[in-house]
Amino acid sequence: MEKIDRLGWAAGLAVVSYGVSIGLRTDEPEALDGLVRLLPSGWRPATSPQVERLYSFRVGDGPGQGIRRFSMLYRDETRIARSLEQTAVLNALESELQLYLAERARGRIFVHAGVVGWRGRAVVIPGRSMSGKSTLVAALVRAGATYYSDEYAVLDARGRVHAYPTPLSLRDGSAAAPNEPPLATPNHDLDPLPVGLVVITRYRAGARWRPRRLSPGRAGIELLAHTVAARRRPARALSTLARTLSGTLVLKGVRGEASGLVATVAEPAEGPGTRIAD
Amino acid sequence: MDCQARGMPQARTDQLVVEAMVDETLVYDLRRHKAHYLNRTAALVWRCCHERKSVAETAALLETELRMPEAETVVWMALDRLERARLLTDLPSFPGPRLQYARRQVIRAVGLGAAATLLLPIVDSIVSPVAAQAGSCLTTAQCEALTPPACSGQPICGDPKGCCVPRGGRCRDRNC
Repeated sequence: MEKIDRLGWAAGLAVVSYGVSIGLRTDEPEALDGLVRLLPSGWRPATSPQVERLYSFRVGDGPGQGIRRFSMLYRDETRIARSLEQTAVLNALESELQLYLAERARGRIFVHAGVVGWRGRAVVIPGRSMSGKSTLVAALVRAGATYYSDEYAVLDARGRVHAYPTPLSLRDGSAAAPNEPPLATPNHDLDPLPVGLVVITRYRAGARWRPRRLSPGRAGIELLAHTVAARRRPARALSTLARTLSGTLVLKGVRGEASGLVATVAEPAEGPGTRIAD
Repeated sequence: MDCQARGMPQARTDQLVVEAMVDETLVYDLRRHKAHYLNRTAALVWRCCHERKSVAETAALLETELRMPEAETVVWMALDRLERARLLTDLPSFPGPRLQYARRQVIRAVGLGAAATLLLPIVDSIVSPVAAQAGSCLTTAQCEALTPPACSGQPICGDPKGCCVPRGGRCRDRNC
């Protein structure tokens, strides 16, 4: 760590987010604002300079400036990203911050999922990257649902879902232009919601949505597979999932186009053309 | 010893986190970082292992609670599944080769109808995800800062075809 400390850091900040203390520092004071913008909203300055994890960002040179200097990112003493493109390293920091906080958050369990609010209840769509959950979340938002998250379902001890504030954007390669405005930006003041429906699905071209209902236990193990702190805090994860799934309808199946599923999600028991198998 | 009077193996209790979900049970193995799903039948048999009931007593319980015919075979099937998931402390003394407790064999031997097959014991297991597996994609810069075996095909953000895979002793963003 001393070796990295000697690199010369010009600006830094200690913050607390989701109960976790994090330090950010950089060799260019102007870059600090950009680092802070990568934090999930709701952070506050830490009262102590002692942090659980320190990220150090060294600003590289832009193209066409003679000698090339890489932008670098360190997690404590370990280098975790290096690129001539500063944006690439900042993206890495954003992704790293999200994952670290998701794993360590105090009093919250993060499940990798998209979330929308619908008539006072949350619809949770767990899934890995590229499983098509963002497309589904976007379709539900267009149909009038309230956007809560495109990244994580943040569950509290009572099993309610809190909003996770990241802008909703699609990365399907065709629809998302780099500077295109996000489809939805979350309202940070949204109330936490009890979960009304969990949809476990993946996209397959031409497939018809014919879900089957999962029992609470089956649903629990499906959600655990997407729970960030499953290894670090399994007892907390299991008890939170049990509360979340108590009395919750959980549907699983392959889907085709998102529009075909929206009606079912909105009215799971009576959506047109949907048969739910037990 | 006649198997009717045979005692059940002891259920494992150490290094486990257990969460009951209505009739089913989720078990997290802290030693192996595996999570197990036990359906109602498997959960009942596992509970009987905790209570040190005999195979005959457990079979009687299944017959009463689940209306399960030929329940003793089903008890042995459940013990087979629980033992494979390492949820028992000792190996059950099976009254014959374990192959006979394959699902298809049991259905044939017991003559179960379609509805009753749903009551057969199920123990499904997953390896618990590390944080990065449960999380989102990696950026190219993150991927290329890793070294194998940390890259195991994680998706690359913004590239539907990109995966972070080992190449020449380093991790690289390549087509999946």
